Amino acid sequence: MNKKQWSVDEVIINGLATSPGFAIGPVYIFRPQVINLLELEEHIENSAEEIRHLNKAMRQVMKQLVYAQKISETSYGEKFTDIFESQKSFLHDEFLIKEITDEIHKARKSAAHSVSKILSEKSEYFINLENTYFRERAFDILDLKQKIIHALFGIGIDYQLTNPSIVVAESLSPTDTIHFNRKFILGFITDKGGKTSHATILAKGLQIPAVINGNNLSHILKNEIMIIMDGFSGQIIINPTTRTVQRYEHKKQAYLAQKEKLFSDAGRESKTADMVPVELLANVEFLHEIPEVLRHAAGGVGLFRTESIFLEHNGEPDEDTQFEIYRKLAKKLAPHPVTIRTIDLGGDKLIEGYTSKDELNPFLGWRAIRFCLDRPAVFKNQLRAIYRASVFGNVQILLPMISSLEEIIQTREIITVVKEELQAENIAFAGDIPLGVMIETPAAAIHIGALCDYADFFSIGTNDLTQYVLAIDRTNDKVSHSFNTFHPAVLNLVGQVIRTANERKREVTLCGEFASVPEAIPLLLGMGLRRFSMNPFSIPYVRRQIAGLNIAECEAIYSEISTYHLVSEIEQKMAGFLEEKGLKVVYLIEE
Amino acid sequence: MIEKTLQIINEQGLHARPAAHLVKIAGRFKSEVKILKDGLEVNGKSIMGVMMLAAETGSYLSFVITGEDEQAAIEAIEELINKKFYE
Repeated sequence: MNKKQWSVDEVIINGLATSPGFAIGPVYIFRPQVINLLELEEHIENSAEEIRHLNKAMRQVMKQLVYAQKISETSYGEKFTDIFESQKSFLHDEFLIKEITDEIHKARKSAAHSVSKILSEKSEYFINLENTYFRERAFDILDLKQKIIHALFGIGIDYQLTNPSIVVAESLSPTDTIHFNRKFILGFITDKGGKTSHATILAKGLQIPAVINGNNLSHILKNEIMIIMDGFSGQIIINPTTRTVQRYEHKKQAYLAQKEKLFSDAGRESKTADMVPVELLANVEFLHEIPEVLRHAAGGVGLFRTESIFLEHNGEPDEDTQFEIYRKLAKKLAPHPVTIRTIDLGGDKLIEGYTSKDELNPFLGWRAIRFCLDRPAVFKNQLRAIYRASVFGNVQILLPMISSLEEIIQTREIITVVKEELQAENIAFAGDIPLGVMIETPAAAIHIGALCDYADFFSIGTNDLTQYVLAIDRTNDKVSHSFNTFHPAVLNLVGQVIRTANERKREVTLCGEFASVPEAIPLLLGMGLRRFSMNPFSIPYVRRQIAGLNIAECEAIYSEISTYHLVSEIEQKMAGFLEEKGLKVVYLIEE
Repeated sequence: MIEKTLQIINEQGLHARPAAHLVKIAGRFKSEVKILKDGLEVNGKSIMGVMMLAAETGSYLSFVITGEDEQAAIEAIEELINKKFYE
């Protein structure tokens, strides 16, 4: 595609938003130059000369790394230190260097060819390892290979960002990003990555938008093309019309003003217009999200997901590893409560050789509590780690995917053993830790009255509950469009759960995406919900919306909605309600 | 020649920093230091080699040390591993 084609019409591309905000500006393609190694195959005459080149190039790369590490540590502490340390130590590895020089001597190949061959082989080896940490070292080795080859050819990677631009790249490594002048980065668009990839973390830290697109934009776009990126919807608008630019300029200004105001208000409590207190809690997966949670004055962590600890370990992390994570979490949030959900593996979160695979219906299969109760040793380790962490803060335990009372009873039996063991080992723990259950299966929701006798608190997971009530697989494109929590059957069930829990004096929280959907909040308040747990970034927006609502009108709108039969009617009514109240919050962050 | 199997017990396993530490200690001795795990044999004085072991916590490594200071070398390595790399 050339520039001329773009100038015809604006093009909208959908990506995955990973950091909020808007950016409008020219594209800056970041692509390390690729050298055609086929050209390097030729025989060389003077191997001593090649080795001299190699040594010089390696010294140069060492200097680059020392410099990059210094900058990185100033900005991010020790977050990326391991990467720099291992790259530096590879450059000092005389046995590795000997492999390369042997190739130069014996095979009579150029330094660049030899570096490429040996380091590609090493990286190939690492990429096939099972352990995530070691597997990822493959990228450090490839990055190092690129650096040495570039140094051999005297090519400096072009990091020159001289005017504010949106950086578009296939992916970004820590060594790449520290070279950009940060005041010129408007946003990041990468072809690859995820919620935890480097570009995402960096973008969140810099408070600039980031979007991941699956369309290889880094190979399609050209420098200087104007684009708009929306770090809420994930949309990328290429070559926008003047009108679109104006619209987004306006959105951006409104967002910045709103953010400014929200952040300055962040210290205050969450209350409705008629002064009813509401708890806003955070859903958290990684410890590095905690500063964000504290900044938005969340009332605690309503959901700490533990799956990633297992996914990162490719299986079971030992008790001490888990304990350390839970301890830090509890300590940093104290005195606020931290609700730790025991592992919800299975379904779409699989670990090879650990969870089962090739199940016909994985979401109806061996997942979450079912997996845990079949693997009591794994479950016990996690419960032990949580109990040990309980003395460092205010900890609660939450069980996922409960569908029968027996599962709670069995868990309590395991907990009794855990407590006896800890007592015998003289390890401190905080007495009886509240034990709650997720309400995400129809069975649990329908049977809520009986669950009140067995569980201390509830947490409604709207994503799974909707999926199971409507019998719609969200990952199936043919049916996923009908997935909608505003379905009257789902709303009715959620309402019943909240009402019963309130009557029976059981704390109930909603921790699905639904808790931060503007059209849903008045309904949930009307149902009697007072605890919302969400992505930490959404908290200021939800807090603002809640401050504009009073309970009586929420109850009225909910009772009116209860008579509706069509999803579309409900959605329209709610949108109209917000419009009327001037509460149409458009800048909400999707999870 | 001394052969000894040691278990990695530090939390991380042989991640970059502990691996570098091990290489540094091995490099202080004149003896040849070989490490074996799951059929892979690497040079204990090479950081690339040690990283390639991908040794997680709990895994067992066989050390084969040959040379005049082999006894001192295995003792130093054993202490490093058992003291969890002084992390």
